[in-house]
Amino acid sequence: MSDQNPRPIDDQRLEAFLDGQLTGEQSDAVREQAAADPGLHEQIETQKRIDEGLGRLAKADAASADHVLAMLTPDHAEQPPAAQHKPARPLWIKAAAVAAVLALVGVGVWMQFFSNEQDQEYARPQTVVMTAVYRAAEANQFEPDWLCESDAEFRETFKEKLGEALSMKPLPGDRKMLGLSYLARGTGEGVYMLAQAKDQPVIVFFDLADQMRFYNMIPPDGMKLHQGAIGKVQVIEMSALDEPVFIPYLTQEPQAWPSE
Amino acid sequence: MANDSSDQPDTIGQAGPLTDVSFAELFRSSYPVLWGIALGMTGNRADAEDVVQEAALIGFRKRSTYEPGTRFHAWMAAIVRNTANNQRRKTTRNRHQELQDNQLQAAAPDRTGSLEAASQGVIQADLQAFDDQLLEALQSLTPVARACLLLRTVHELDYDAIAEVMDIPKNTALSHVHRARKTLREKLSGRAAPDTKEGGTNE
Repeated sequence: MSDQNPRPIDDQRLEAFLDGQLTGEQSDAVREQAAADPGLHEQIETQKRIDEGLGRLAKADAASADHVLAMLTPDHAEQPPAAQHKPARPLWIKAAAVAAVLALVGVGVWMQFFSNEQDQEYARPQTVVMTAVYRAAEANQFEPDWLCESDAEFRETFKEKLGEALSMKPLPGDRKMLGLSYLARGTGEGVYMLAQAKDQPVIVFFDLADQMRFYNMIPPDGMKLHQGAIGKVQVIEMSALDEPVFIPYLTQEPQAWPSE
Repeated sequence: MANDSSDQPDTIGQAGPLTDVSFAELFRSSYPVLWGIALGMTGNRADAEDVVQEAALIGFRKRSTYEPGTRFHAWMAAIVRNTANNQRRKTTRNRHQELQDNQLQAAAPDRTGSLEAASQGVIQADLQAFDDQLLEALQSLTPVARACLLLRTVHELDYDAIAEVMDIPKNTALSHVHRARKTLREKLSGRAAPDTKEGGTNE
């Protein structure tokens, strides 16, 4: 409903116009009036520039949300491991062992041993941020630390890093293991596998149950986590797929790979 | 133009306790609004980044206290507002001795950090000059007015949604936005700003 006798637009009406709260007809009337009123026209144009400027200054960057999430510390990784886990063996055994070492190899070697113990006890635990691992792999075009070309090599890696040999059963044609990489966490290293399934990138994390507290298990946007366990090894598969596609093929039994 | 908060299923609370993954999903969908609140409340990007980061950490640690079925973005918005208020109190204490000019300079972001276009190296000089004036004019608004304005203009929230995340009445949100717009227009048109302290300005 347009005004028949145009009169100066009051603040309330102008704000309602700028806020998109007037009907089409009412807005047209304001525009008509602005065409004949340089002052009003300037106000509308200035507001347009301000809105555009605010958009430039204040727009949220979608990647920032992932950055914030990647900084979240896992609940239980705040304290050094020594503060959370009491030594499994009584202290007197440890003391006796140290005394034996002292007697056998002398004070110099003991000093070295003691120094290492201190480093381990007070070292700040290292958190594994799954999103960061994914982004790094992406930036590196999913190239693994090393190509694992036989079941024996695959088993040896897990035996050495996690104390348990794992194998992978023959995979269907739409799945491919690209290789293995290591990641520092806590006071040692975990293992992750870079892979592809159904043309999608997949990362499979392997670690011991007591080390999972060092993991920030927040996947990148659009990715999902699937969890499993093989013996004492926890396995977390990360991909955009709705179900795990590598976990079902992991086994403790040695396998003969087609390439061997 | 504006989103109706009741039409945002991604911000409806989960049926059970928040897991890491569901927290992340809800946080991502709420992030633009949380960013708008933090930026409005602090007045500069560097502090806003700190506030959002700290609030995310607090929310993540307190996720077991999140009440299933309630709106996640309103729950997180309260944490962001509290964190921003604490940050402002700290900042105010630290800058108490500084001159007004220095305060303004400290509150305004540096150009490379504040302008998305600048980081792309394509912004024009007159656009930069205008944005500089706009930044300065924004500092004259109260934090709440600034946040309401950004939520409305940049994040296109409707007034019900702004009222919810800012925990203020709807009419107050509307009033903040309209007065803030008018103040900015008057400042950027080269006219004197009105003395409207109750209208959401710092002057």
